[in-house]
Amino acid sequence: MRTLLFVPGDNPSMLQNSPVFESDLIIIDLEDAVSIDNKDAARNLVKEFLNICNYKDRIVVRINSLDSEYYHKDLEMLSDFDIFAIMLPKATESVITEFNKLYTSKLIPIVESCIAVTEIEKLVKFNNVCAILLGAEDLACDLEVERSEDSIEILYPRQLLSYYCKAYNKIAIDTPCTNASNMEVVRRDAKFAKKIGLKAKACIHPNQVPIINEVFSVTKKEFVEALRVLKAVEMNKGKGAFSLDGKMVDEPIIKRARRHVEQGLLLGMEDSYE
Amino acid sequence: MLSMAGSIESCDCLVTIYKSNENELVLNTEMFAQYGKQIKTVVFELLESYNIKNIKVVIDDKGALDYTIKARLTTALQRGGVI
Repeated sequence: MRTLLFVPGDNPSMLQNSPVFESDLIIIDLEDAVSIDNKDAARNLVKEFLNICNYKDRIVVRINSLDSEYYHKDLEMLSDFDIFAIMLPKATESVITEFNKLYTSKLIPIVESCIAVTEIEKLVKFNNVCAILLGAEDLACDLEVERSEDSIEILYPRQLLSYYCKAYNKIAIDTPCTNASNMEVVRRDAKFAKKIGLKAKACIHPNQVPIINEVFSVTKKEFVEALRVLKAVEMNKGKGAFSLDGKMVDEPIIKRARRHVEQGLLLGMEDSYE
Repeated sequence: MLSMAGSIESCDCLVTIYKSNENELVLNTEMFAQYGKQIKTVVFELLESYNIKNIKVVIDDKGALDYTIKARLTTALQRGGVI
């Protein structure tokens, strides 16, 4: 998983065209993207859409929050469908505990409050949590700070999410970049997120998808290099560490090479090796 | 008028329902020749599934697929207290 594209739940055009944009997952939004007056219409539209959708395993639905009057209706509607996961806004330990009393679905909670940041360690321990999304806009509002282009104000929760998700084998999803017009800003933001250990990024515009997919994918150069390392491992069987092109190859390098090969094969890079 | 649902955005439709003596459909669409019959089937099947016999449905269609027509009509029926 590299990209998750938000699509408004009350927009038929975006719903039916959503697979065209090539995001790994599609987040159908019943929450912020839908006005109060259209919550009922969006829920009915998403229900009928899911009835005909043949890629439900790529669908995540962001429901309305537990403290809203729409929460149970959203979940009741979704109970008929086997989708990838439910995205739970305003998540905290107590919100997920409440959810789990009634439902068993796979969850992607959104960490978007200061309380939630302090509870990330607890959130990753829920068995049905498969990934966590950082929601920077609401989080910055809760922290009473402005969002900035370098996102320094969310560095701490980003890193916290990276470490805890990795430690508990969950996917750390970065907050979407709110700039939908300047793709260099999007690329820089995604590269930084990758650099500090986040594994995927939400998108608010289809234009962001190819750039973020590219940033979060192994490159052909990395893939080819990883294959060379693994070939050298075979030739140096029995050695704890060895040298390749004058550089030491030991367990962490081999692990990274295996990961790059695995990702490259998933992306169909078999032909890159000459 | 009892209620409305939907919009006149591309791929959507605006459904308006009225009380009537029988079920009827007024369909405004540029694709009448191609999809008129299909839309009529979707509308009347949905009304029948709820055992509704006295609703006039007006649809301003902007290229909505069947699932959208069903969803918008269902919402209009719910908003109008018909179902």
